[in-house]
Amino acid sequence: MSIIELSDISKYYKVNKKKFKALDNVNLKIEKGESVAVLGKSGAGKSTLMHIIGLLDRYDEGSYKLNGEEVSKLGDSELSKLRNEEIGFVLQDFSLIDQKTVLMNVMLPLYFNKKYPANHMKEKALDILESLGIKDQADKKASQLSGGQRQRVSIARALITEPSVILADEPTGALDSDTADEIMHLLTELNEKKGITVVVVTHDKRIAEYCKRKIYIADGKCVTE
Amino acid sequence: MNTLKLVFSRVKDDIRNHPFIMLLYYIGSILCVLAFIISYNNVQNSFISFQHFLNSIEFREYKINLNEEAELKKEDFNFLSDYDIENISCSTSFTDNYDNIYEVRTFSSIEYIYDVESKLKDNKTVAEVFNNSEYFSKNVIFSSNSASDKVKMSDGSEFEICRIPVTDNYITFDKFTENNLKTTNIVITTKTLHNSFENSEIKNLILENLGHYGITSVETMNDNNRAMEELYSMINTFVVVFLILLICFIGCAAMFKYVFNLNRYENVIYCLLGASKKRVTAIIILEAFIISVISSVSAIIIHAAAYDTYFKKIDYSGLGYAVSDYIIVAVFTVILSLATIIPFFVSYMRSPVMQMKEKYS
Repeated sequence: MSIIELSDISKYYKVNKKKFKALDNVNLKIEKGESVAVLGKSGAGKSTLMHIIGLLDRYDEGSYKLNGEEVSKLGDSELSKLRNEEIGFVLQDFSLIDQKTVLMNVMLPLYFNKKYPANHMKEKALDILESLGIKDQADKKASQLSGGQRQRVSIARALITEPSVILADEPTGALDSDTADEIMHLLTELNEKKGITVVVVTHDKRIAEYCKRKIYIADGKCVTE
Repeated sequence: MNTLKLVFSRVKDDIRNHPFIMLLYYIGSILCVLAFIISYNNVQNSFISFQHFLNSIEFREYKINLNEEAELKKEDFNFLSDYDIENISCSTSFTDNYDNIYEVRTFSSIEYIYDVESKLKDNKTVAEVFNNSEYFSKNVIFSSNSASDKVKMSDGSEFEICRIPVTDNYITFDKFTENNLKTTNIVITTKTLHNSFENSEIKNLILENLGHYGITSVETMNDNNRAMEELYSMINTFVVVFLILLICFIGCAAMFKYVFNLNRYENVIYCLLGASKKRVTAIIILEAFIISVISSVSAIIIHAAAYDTYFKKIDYSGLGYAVSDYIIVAVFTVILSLATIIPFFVSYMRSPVMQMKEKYS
């Protein structure tokens, strides 16, 4: 069974009162444990696709099944629960809360998850930080870390609820090439060793090479695979 | 439980990460709430004064002066049967029996009887009840309440209360006619305050129907400029206090909004991490509640503790503060804080998460 299944997905935006088609009948199936790169130029529709897959935005036409469940009928609370449990986000700007400690940033998703008791949150977060080699940074504020360390914190935060899918939107966009390679190695490792499905949205072909499958998006359409 | 834990951690982080801003906020908001507490009583006082003004007996009285003493009859006042007449009274003269003057205290804490004059005429006695606390020193207690007809003094003498007036020497019209007295001054009191049209109608009726007794004037505070002056003065006080309150509200709201904006981005990140909009709303409301409760409770404690030494001097209402007043102030402050974040909620509920993230990052 596909973990992500998009059928004829279309998404419209209104720009200056004109309807603009950001995604045009996109069909896409991603199997559990795959690593997929979504490639395309700026404005092609990559991020819109990622937002829909990540349940951050609604689509106008078509059908989307996540783990076999049709998401269009779900309300905000159910979508949020699904997002918390099934999807981890790794974004170009890290999306960390700078004034909070690394530990608190990593623990945050657990505050919205009923499965994890409050007294185990810290322990779990420290375990993940240790596995990513940044346990010693736990008490520092996120703003005090380097770009590479921040992205590792972001990955730790994405992993803490043990999601099935990691969605990475330009995860190396703000990093130098050595650090970018490190982060991509880490994502590849998570995919290969833990079987987590990894979807990487990028415009960089070199980064896309880390993924086993590549999807090209142009003018809102899925062009080739 | 997790939500509450997260909210407390946010409040703690706010203080730790922005100590200067938070210090300014707490000092500023405590001052605003203090100003609110002080103004609150004065606004309340303005309302009470205004209500008192509307019910004040002075503005419901029509004082008729005659050029010579007349023995009036009850039927003379039938022309007022269409009006809500509360009382008609006439002034009488004192007798020479000044030796027999008593002060009488009633059980009511407000009203006191004084100037009890015996044997006004034909062994009938007259007593007056005053609202003046200066006259209770002799402490002659009688067993009846102030509305009683008979007043028994400690020496066993009994007096009859004819009226409980504000001015001296006026007795009820029934007593006046019973004793076949003569007068030059009559006071007609209506139950409600009349508008200017009704006011002049009453005056005209008085002139028409009692004119043959030789009326020199019909006076009422209702058409006196002083009435309007009093009203304007009360409105002015109310407007000034209201403006102070408004400035306090705006100050409080602006400071709260600034503090709230510190966490706007964080609120959007919560959504990205799987918090529902409902959950984020609950977090924001709880945080606003805690922050505003801290400042309002601090201000209330300061005010209550320093009331006798300092704040009493600027409490022009003289009403004092009850626990319920403080609760009203605290509730109002919390509601105000919540109102300032409504625009965020409106935009938050309508927009997709990523759009909000871009907007607030």
